Amino acid sequence: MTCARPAGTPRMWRTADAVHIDVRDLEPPEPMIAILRAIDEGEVDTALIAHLDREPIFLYPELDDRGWGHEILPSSCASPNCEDGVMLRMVRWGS
Amino acid sequence: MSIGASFLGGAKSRLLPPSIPFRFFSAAAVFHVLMWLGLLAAANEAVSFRGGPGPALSAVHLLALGVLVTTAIGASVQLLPVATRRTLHAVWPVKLVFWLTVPGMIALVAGMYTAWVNLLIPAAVVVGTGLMLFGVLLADNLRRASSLPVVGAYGWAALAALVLVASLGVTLAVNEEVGILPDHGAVALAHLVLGGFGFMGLLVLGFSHILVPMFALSSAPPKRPSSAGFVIALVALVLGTLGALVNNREVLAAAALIGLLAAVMHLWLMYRVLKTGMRKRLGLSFVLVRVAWIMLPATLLIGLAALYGFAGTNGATLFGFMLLFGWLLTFLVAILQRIMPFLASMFVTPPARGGTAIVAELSGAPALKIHAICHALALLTLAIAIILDSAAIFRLGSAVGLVGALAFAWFTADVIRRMLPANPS
Repeated sequence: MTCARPAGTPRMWRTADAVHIDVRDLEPPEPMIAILRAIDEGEVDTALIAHLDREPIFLYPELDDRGWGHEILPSSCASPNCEDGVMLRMVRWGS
Repeated sequence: MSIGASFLGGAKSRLLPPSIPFRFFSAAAVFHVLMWLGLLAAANEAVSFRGGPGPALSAVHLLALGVLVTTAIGASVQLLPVATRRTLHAVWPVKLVFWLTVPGMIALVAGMYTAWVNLLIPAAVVVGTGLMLFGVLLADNLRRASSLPVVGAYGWAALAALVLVASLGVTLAVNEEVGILPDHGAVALAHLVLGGFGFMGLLVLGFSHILVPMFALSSAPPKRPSSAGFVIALVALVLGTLGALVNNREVLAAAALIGLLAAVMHLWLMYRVLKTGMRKRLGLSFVLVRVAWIMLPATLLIGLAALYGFAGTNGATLFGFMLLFGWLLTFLVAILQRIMPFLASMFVTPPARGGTAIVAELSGAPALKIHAICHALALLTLAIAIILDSAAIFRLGSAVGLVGALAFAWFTADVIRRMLPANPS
């Protein structure tokens, strides 16, 4: 994973173990809205990994309400406080 | 590492220690109670208050500085670094802001209450210094807020208003001793306009562009009308300040009309945010937010009517009351009751389920219902008292407001109590 930042709308792609959504460069609260839309519209059947440029603290209670857990993944810059972004892995509880 | 544990570590790295925002929020809750007590004691003077040292002026500043500004500082230092991705390098400057402003405010309102200039002037200087230090912290964050252009624009304008309102405040205090101002009343009105519509008003409008969409789970308002709304609001503020300083009714009327246009644009943008939001049931806090939104244009209409003598003998008092109590206080207690449980939820253990429980349990707390009912009743009763020039009705309204403030203080204490066992810092 690189730290490149596509501008504009969120970009989604799928890997073997997760659906990825890149919401970097979106103005708050667009990243949170895009992630919740992906979850609410049933686009995620495995784990969801979001690529963000800031920690989405307002997202966490919304994930809890929907029965989803979350963890910050080590970024490509090898630091959870990496200025290039945050990677957040989300999974439905019990899955 | 569990999902919950790793999340807590990440969140804590970016949030301030809970004692920082909550010391401001706690102080605001205490000042809120003291403010209603002050109004209760000063009802005879406050019902037709036009300015000047005394108990009514001290009650007004318990609200303006003690509740509104203290809440704004606590929310800004906590939320802006998260939004701008700029972690504060050190916590001590924020603590210093607290220790300058809060004790300074206590001394200032005591000086106003007793009209003792030897206390009033140094206290005004101390509060002004604390606010300037906060201004430096705010500026440091705003210069990193390039991804939030509308919020940033409102923030910079609010910061400029803060410098001016604090300077005028110190000047007004000094003027009580040495009489340097040719028209104390004109400067006092400019101080009110800059403080109410300027610093606090612009912060409220700016933060609404990010907080309301977050609560409603909606996209932010479109940039072009948002930017246009900002420019119109700024023009209204500049005209209002100049009109007050030169005591020109036509300029003030133009400011009120332009301000009305800015208010209508803001309300339209917020209406679109709520309409397109994924969350439709926004709870009690948004009942108060909607009341505050109604109060904004109502304040400007009453100000306009007061300028031309159509708002009764206490029209000017009613204008100030609607601005500070109707719009700003209502909006801030609405937002505060929303963000306090959320922030507390970030510091409980385990954070995931425990945090959600705090938000869910406290969002419908009986204390909040009591506060909302009392706040609405107090607004209505005090407005009637001002219109009828009745100190007895004003006293009744203040007593009702006091009950609401006590309920809100109970709620604040409850939030802190739930958070303390997990994090005593």
